[in-house]
Amino acid sequence: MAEDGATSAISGRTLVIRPTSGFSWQDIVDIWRYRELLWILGLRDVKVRYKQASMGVLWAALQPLAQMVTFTVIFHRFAGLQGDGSVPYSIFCLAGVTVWGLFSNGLSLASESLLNSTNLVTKVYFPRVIMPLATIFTAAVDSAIAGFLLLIFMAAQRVPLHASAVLALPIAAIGALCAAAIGLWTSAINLQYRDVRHALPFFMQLLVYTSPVFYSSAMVPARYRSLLFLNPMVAVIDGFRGALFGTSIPFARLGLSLLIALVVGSLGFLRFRQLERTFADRI
Amino acid sequence: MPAPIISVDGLGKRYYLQGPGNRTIREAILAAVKAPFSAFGRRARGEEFWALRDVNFTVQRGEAVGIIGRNGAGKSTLLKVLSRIMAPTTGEVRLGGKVASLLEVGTGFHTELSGRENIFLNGAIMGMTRAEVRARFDEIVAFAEVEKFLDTPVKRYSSGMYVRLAFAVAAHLQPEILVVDEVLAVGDASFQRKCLGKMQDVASGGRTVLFVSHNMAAISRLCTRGILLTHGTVAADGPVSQVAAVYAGGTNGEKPTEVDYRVRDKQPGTEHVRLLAARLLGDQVDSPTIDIRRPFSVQMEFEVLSDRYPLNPNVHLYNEEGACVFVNSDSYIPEFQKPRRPGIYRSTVTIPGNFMAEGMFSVDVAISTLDPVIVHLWERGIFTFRIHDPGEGDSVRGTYAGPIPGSVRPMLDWTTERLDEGQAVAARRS
Repeated sequence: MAEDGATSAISGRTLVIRPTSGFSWQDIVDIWRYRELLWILGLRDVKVRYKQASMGVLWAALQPLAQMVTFTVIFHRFAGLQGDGSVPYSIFCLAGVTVWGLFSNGLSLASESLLNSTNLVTKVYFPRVIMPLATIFTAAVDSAIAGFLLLIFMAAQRVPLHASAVLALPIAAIGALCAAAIGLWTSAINLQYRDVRHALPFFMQLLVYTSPVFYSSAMVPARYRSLLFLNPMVAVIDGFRGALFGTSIPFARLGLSLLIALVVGSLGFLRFRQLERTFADRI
Repeated sequence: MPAPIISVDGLGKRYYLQGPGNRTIREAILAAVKAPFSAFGRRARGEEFWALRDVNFTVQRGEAVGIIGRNGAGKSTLLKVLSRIMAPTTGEVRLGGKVASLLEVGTGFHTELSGRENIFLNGAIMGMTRAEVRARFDEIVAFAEVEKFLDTPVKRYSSGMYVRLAFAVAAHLQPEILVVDEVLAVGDASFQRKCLGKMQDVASGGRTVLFVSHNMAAISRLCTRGILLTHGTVAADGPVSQVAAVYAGGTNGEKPTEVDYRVRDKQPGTEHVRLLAARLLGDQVDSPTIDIRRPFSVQMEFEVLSDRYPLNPNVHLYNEEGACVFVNSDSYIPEFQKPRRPGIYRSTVTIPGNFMAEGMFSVDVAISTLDPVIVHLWERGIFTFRIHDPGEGDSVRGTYAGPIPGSVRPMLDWTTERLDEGQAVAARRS
């Protein structure tokens, strides 16, 4: 076919499917075109979760609540663990559980997202990246419910809300970004190595102890602290509490967490796009 | 010629029979230990299998193309590559417009969600914005006939409603290229007709339709062109009636209505009988398409060489699903129950009009002895023809245009009496 005017006019919209393709702007255009799917898939999961369960939305509140009660009774009452002293331990703990839940639920859901939608992956095209990302949205709705609970508890215990509390949202968003960044990797790898399914809960269990969910990172001896700070969620949890309770916010460490999330996420995105072409073959 | 809207060039898709998925980390580590330098890279893979190999074709804007082929011929793989679900192994595809594919009924439907929610969900999965779905929402609902159940979870839908809704969303996307796989098999007859009508609208509206179905009648009605896939390659590409004939016959149909064995080196048969020629005779001798209302004949010329056995020529007809519609021979005629005198014979069997169903049929001819059973010759699939109903109102279908099930469609006698006036008001066929 001659490259005449008509051809090139159409070629602006021509999509070429080839065996291998690296990164192309078409990918970005595609994701933009499907942006609404992100909301709709996220919303779908939220709706489905609460439609299927008769207790509905209560489950989202019950989970952090139960964690808070358990941690408070065992670590605070029995083991004598203290928070950072600025607020009652139960509130300190609930704040940690809320932002940690955003990360851990988001990551777990993202990792399973492709495997749980094999019918979609094998039967219809859309940028697959949307699937793990949409689950972060679902996790965010759960965490919003937990966050609402946290505000109620704070009011009940007369913990003052500082102006810096508005920063809690962007700080939590960094946590969500961390979940998304790792989720891009785990969801894609999960298709190839189903081991991820078994390894991840175990990994999350270890991670909850190395994140200051029910303790304060100030308690960690200084020489271990820098090691702890490699975990990007440490700064997020510290920062989230700092913003809510009006104590210090570790801006430098938050910046580092953001950087880590962005680097891991960008590499994950590129790798995901690469593996995406074989998803339908692998399922 | 304008640029084609779909151009497929040297397309190939390879699978490994022991697929690349599902490998455990343990295996990966073991492989890395055994061959440390190839590490996590290439590994010994299973036997390879090409689902598609060197597939080339182009489709012009507004064409309706039927993709035909037996199970495992690569139809679904081709559609998946065209829909961007799978990446090809070799070659490339150029698409000049937005593709909407309906490869399975209700893909992306969530059974817990209502019909309304699923319309938006499904639309978004197919790349529509909410505003676009909203603009066509009423049309989709009306087409699917689910108005009353819009807020019911689709898990409570009948399978018919489910299919209707799924098709409605895909068909109203207004894609430049609509890809439909086999989904119409699920719905009821009136809905199938509606879907075909909608696809016809899409095609006649200047958009392009790729349609996979085993229902050859549906393909013939909708598509102008057929592409036959056999073992992952294009075996035939052309007018749909021609390609359908090749498909049903599995031959390349040199001359579709006559086989002359006299010109061949060897005639089929035994020392008792040999086949000289076989013909398919109808009104339209040159094309293997037969009007459902008209009779047609299968003719065999054979030479009887000995009078040792009774010999009965027989004809076998198969429909496009491979089911035998009937076998018939002259063995009920007393004089052919005895051996016949050596010589050259011509036997013709006539199948009446208004007897066959519509569709593609394949003909075998054979000459046998029934007691003891000896098959002297059996030529399989020598003719393929299509029974076509032009729908002029005087066939069994009357004025009805939809699909009619059944392996045969005989015009049987009907009598109707008016009981309160005691006289016949309408009777049977002429």
